[in-house]
Amino acid sequence: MFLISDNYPNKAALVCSDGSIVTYKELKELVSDFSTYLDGRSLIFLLGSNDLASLVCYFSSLECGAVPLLLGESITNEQLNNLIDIYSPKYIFSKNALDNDAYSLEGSFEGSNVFSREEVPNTKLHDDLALLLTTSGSTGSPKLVKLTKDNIKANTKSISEYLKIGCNDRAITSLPFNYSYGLSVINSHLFSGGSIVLSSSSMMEEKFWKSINEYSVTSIAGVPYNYEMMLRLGIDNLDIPTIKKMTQAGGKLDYQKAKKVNDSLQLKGIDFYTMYGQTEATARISYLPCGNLDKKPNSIGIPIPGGRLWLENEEGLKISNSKIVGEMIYEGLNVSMGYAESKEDLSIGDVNKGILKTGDLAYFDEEGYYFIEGRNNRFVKVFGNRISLDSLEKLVTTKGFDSVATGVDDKIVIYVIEEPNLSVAELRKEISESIGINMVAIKVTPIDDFPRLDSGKINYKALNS
Amino acid sequence: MTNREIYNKVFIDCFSVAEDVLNKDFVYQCIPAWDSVGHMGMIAGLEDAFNIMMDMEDIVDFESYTVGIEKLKNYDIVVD
Repeated sequence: MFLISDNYPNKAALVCSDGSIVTYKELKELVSDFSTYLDGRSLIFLLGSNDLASLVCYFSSLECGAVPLLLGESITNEQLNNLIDIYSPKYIFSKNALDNDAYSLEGSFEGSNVFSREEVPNTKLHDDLALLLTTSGSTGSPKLVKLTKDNIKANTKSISEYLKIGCNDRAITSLPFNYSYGLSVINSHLFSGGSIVLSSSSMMEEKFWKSINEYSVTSIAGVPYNYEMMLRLGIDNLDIPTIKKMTQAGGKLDYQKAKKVNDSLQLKGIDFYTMYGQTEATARISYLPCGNLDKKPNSIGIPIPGGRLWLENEEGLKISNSKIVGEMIYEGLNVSMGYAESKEDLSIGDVNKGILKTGDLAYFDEEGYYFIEGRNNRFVKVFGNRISLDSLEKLVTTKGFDSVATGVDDKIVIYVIEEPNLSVAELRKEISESIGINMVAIKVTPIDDFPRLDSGKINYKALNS
Repeated sequence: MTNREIYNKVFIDCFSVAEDVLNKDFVYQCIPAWDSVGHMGMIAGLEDAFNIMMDMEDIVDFESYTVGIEKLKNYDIVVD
């Protein structure tokens, strides 16, 4: 079966939140049974979480040729209906009721529902298209990344290889299922014969740490803020004797914090890997081999097995000397087919041809380790979600205010022209809800006027000083 | 400011809520802002405001506005 290992039929594949075990054999049966709900090649919106039903729906879709778009359960009705209008999926899988007349209930599975659309507008899916992921967390942006089975398989194999994931590895779901990093943890463990503990608790809950010990979890994955949580909880005192590996991706973890984490984990005998990637490359692009954090501070490491990185200068010429900054380009079998922003785009084939312009500016050292210096586009990573500052400004405009958005990782600052009907607290809350990012990361600052350069462009330097 | 005022201000600033919702029903995940990220922000706010360092056990058990008042007693902070 695609992605799911055939080698260990009687071994545990999943440990559900109630402690019950699903073996590989049982998981495969569930996946086969579920496909009776799905009518082959069609589009399905999967509003999922880290539970048995969502995983079965995901694997079943891949198996029978349905193309799932993975969405978070917390998506608003407005965002969901907008996506339905654009893509007209044949099926919608959701725990909740559906507020859309075009769909009727087809069946139920483990507390989730499959809704189907009576009349399907002629949605053509390209033969290679297998999976759709959103580009920016839960913002409801219709821009999707199109992935093939070859993309998923290549990245899964590569990750399993460099993280040495085997049949004795057991991960816990600490990231959203619809997030490329979270999904890669699930894929790589089930591909390698390992197992997954399905948890919906956060690291701020006792239950999460209890499950780790109760079910002998061996690895934890986290984005930078997860590691900040562990530091806040007191990482030295975390009692997690079964953990052997911890990984970090989804944005840059500040070096001082990374070092603290690494020092503490070393004492516990836990291998710590910092990694870099993009959804456009299925998930993973590079990793810093364990034990190199002190030697290569701030490095994103080396390309994953099977991948290649290089730099290009502004003229598009390859940079061959170390310590010179250029745009980082990645080549590998895991590079997606391209984006979709409309239904028509789903019928278009591979436009990337295995090559991805990452948008990150980087240099490499004499030993070929890469270091990111900045970005040539206006994106910030907030709690692992990629947020476009330009879209944020547009969003604030729709609320009736002129704004300039700036930001660094995990902190967005939105400058808004002061006016009588501006409520800073209210706007902050609305933005937080629209983009699905906790408001601790959002600051709204009223300002009399935006500082500008002679060219008329916003003077970001003056704004941030 | 009294300890109560300091305690409330952390919640108000962190979660953008009005003071009158701060009671025993104000619990973890009762509003979208009080998720795991908000929890960490709130704990950081309390640690700064009272100049304390909370233990893991107290952070993960801190499940409501009222329970928090009990937890702060472990650091000799009395909110009355």
